Amino acid sequence: MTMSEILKKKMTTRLEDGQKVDPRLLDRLDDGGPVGAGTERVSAIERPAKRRRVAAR
Amino acid sequence: MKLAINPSPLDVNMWEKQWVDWLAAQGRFRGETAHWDWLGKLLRVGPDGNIVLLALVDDDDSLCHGLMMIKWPMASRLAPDGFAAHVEYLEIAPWNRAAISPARVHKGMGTLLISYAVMCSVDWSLEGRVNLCSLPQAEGFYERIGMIACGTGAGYDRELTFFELPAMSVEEFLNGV
Repeated sequence: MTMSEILKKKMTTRLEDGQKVDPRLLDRLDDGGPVGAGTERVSAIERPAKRRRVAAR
Repeated sequence: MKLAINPSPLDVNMWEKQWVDWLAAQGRFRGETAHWDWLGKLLRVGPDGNIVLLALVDDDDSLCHGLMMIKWPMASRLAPDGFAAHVEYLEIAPWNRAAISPARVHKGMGTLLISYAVMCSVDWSLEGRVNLCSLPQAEGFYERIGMIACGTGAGYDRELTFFELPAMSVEEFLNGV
C-alpha cells in the first residue's frame, strides 16, 4: 500500500512506533541517493550559536 | 525495516557512532553533519509533542538508515497565515548515500523520511505542508520531489535555501512514493 493509499483509505496519518516499512516500497524507491544530509545549519553557521548560548549563561 | 519514534538515547548514540565508524573505515569524515549530535537533539524532545525524532531502523534496532527531527508549527512561506511541519534535521546513513556508497543498501531513505514528515503534517492538521532549510548538496533532491525554493533561511540558516512542499503538491508527491 502506498502512502497515498494510506491517506485516502484511513484519513489518518498517525505514525506508530515500530510501524513496519513495506518492503515493496524499499525495493521500488530510488531517489538517487543525493540526500547525504538534509537540512539546516552547516557547522560554520551553528558554532557561533553554541558560543553565544554559553556566553549568555 | 521499521519506524522508531523518539527512540532511546542508547540506541541513538549507538547508531550515530556506527555512522562515524563506518565512514572512518572508508577513510572518510562525516563532513557537514559532523557536529550534529543526534543524541543532544533527542534531549530536546519534550512532552509537548511538537518536536519528534523519527528513525528508520532494522527490525532488531541494530542499524539505523536515516534520522529526522521535525517540529511544528512553523510559519508557511507559501500559504498566507498557514503553518507547516518543519524538518529541522535529516541525515541519511552514509551507506545509503550515492556520493559515498554507490551500491547503497537502501535507495529511497530521503523520500521515505519526507513522506513521514508529510504524514505528520497531515496528522497535525497542517495539510501536508512541510518546509526545511536544505544543505547545498541536497537542493536538487528537494526540487525533484516538488518542494519550492522560497528564499533563504533565517538567522544562522540565512545561507541555506528554504524549501517548502505546498499543500497542493502533497498528493502528487505521495503518489510518486
